[in-house]
Amino acid sequence: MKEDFKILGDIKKQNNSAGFKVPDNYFESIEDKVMGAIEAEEKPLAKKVVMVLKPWLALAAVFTLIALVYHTVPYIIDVNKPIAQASYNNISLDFLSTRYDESELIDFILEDDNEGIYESLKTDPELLEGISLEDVEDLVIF
Amino acid sequence: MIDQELSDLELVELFNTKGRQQEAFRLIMSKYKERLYWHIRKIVLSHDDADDALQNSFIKIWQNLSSFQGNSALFTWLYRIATNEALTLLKKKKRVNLYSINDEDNSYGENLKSDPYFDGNDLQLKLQQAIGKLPDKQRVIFNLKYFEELKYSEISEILDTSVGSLKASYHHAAKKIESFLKANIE
Repeated sequence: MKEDFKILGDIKKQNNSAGFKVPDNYFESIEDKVMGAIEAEEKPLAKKVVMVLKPWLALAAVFTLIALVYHTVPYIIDVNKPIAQASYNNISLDFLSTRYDESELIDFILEDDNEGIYESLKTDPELLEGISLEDVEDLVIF
Repeated sequence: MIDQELSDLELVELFNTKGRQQEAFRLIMSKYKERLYWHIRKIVLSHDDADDALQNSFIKIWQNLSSFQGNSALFTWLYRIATNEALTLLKKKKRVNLYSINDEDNSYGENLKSDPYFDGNDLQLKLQQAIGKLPDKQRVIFNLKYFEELKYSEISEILDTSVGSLKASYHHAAKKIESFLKANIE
């Protein structure tokens, strides 16, 4: 300490606490107090996050449900089932005409692999569902 | 539980070890609680305020220790957080006009006299009154140098201020305090 600050030098470190004191057992209990405060801080924070996310979670759930219904229901009612995977018995002219325009239908029937379908349409009265053979021929052969 | 005292680096590593965070944090608190408390107490003066600021400091330390880069020593990083918390608390108190530490006519001395957790002698009371007249940052610099005897390089890390400025600031503060004491000691 410089001579300039003689008084400061004299009183320095009379007591490291500089006259301050603390309540009994303060330092023994501070760690538990802090850990308690940290837990108290973190719990509401977790709740807050859930509170903030809740509407978004609900919205996400609704969208997921809609997506699930959109992708599942068509398969259940067989609308989206690919033609190549469908059995002959499930194919009707109505069904084909809802899915394809005339030229696509002709292309479909003229493909070698699909001859069987055409044949069964001609011969299986149940598959024709009230449509005459002439109607089918008109449709597929102009 | 670990018996031997770990270095700061080891404490930080332990804190970043999965499942041992609380254990490490308790060791850090145990190591630094008194130093940080007295540092804060000399800034805010009352025990209740020091207790609040210390708890807030430890909560901040808990929240940020995992991102501590080790670019500075752990203790200077802890001191920086504690200093900021103490000064923030003082600013809040000033805003609500509970008292003004820089006011010439403040009740600083009277508050300290009636504080049940201050039992200093007349000289210590006068010293605190003199310190209380310093601007906030100068008071922190004075405390860290005079009471805690930190090196200027350490204070520089804590306060992010150049060593040259710190030396000038400390000298200026000491001069003001010495003058006040000379004038007020019977």
